[in-house]
Amino acid sequence: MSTPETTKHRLHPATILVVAVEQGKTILLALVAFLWAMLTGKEGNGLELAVALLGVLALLPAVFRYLTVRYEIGPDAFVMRSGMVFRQTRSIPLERIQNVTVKRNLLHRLLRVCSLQIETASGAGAEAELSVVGDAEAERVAHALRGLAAEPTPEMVQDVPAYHATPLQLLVAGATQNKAGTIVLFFFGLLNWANEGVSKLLVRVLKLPSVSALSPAVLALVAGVAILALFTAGWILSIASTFLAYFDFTLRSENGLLRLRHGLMTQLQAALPIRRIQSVRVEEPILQRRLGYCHIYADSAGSYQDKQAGGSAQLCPLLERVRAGEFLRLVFPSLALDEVRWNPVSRLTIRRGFVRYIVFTAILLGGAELFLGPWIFATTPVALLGCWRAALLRYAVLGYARSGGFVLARAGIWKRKIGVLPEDRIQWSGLNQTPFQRRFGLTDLTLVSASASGNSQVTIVDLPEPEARALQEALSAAAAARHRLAVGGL
Amino acid sequence: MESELEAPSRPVIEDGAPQSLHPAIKRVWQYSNLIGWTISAIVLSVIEYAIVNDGDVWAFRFPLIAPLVCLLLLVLSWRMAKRQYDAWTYALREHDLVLSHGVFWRSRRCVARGRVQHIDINSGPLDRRFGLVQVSIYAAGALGSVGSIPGLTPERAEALREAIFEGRDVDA
Repeated sequence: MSTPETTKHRLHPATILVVAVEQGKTILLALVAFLWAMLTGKEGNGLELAVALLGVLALLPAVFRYLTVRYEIGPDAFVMRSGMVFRQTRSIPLERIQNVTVKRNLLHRLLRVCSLQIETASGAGAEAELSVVGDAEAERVAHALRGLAAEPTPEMVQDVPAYHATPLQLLVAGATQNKAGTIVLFFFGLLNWANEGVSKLLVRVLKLPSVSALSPAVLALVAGVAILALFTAGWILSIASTFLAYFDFTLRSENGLLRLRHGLMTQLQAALPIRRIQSVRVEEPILQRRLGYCHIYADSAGSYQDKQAGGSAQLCPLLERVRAGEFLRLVFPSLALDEVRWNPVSRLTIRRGFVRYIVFTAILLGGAELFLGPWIFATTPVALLGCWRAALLRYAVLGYARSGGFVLARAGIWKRKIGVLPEDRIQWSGLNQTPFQRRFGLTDLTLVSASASGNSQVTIVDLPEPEARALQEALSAAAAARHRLAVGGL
Repeated sequence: MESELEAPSRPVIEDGAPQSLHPAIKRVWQYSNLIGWTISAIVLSVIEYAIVNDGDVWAFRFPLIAPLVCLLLLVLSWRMAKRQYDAWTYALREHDLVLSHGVFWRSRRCVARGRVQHIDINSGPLDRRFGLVQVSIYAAGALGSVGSIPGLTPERAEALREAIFEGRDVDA
């Protein structure tokens, strides 16, 4: 257990430098604008003075922060004081602290300091941030605060991580991300521009009278190379960004905590209390699914990392699909993902999906007609067949299950998603029915947890209305029964 | 319904049967639609005026489409209030609260009493004109806003709030 302390601690002196650099980034634009005005204007006399002034301005908040922030770990609360004119004392009860996150960017690592974020369940980012403290001090504070979750056991040091991403896995993860789809869309956006821009460029560079002077074969070759180059560039970018974010991704499970560490330039260490996890999501983008891989997110109450969409943490960048069931037992020990028997949704969803895909295709064909000419409508029969096939596929994918105290929902033909929500995490449930669904007597059932993430709900799509209603009632009754048991057990 | 003044401590809502809103809420909806569509009509008419006169504001060609469309939508929404009212029910049952509403887009939300984190009672100027308030129910988390029950008398809202919190145990 943590020992109460009485001395007040300061931030690391490097705070001044780090904050100045951070501030510097934000005033850089103003600085550039100012310089521009100075250089283009007649008088350049005030230039040095202005730059110096801006420099001091950038430094001021940094010095203020270093001078004013004091913190201590009291017997029952973490207390942080800050401010010079407007003083603030914030105390966070120790038992309320959910997460202690250590963040290091490149500058931090050079200076051997880090930023320490202390979070509670409030969900709105970090409750307190110590930016920056020395590495050793961070270790001490983090240790003391996490001490609530018991001391680290000796075997922790040499134990094997529950998950570690190999460079090959990161490569596959980056290469199979859905970003490829974005790149294709981007390319279609470029088509219009390319029609005029590229042809003019070709005319100028190759000194041709006009593009039409090129043989169609050469033109096709140029276009092909351009597409390939664009695609490859996007691909490499996608792989590189995955490497940057998830390099050396390590997940350890100990004493009710999931410890995550990843990042190449900006390194992130976080501890995610398992009991705070509200739901998990298994995602399989089409390429990963074909290769037999998936990746897993956990949504928790209280975000562990502010830059991620509140409260959604990636538990692994890439995992063999066959290992997903075993992996999820880290979070939910009683979950047997591979033994789950999926219930189909209503067959009428095929018709609904068909209509939806037809509308989508019609818009797409209409758009394509503008660029490619009316012959594109000749593809209508094939498109219709494709829509029907997609609608059937959608029906096959949609499904839900109630098993061992968990509710699971599956959806998505491109990116297949399986949402897993323990029944006792359900905050509220909602049946939603659109006018289109009403014609078929279908309805969606949405189950909402206390996650801090805005898109963490588990939705079962297109259930027959009586079935959805019965399921909603059954879940409510089960919650009431659990409640009675808990009250009776006291 | 005005005579229905329950003692705040013993609400009648507890029997679990679906309850209707106060009928005056229809007027609130109608008047708020009236205000909304009037503002839309003015804004859209100005835009249409600018378009049909093509910059020459002294031509005085007056807009027709925008005011008429807005009027039509107003009439429709005016008449919808009844159906909207009929569709809206709430039921406080032994363990949970159920809100059902919607004519075209239907919704039925269900929250366990023990999950309710806090309850807001608020009222806008129109609500106050008709002596009504609105009760908003919140559970935990980013999506914790379960919904709002409009068209309650302040006494009833108070009773509902007390009934939700009464004798419950928060199961975290």
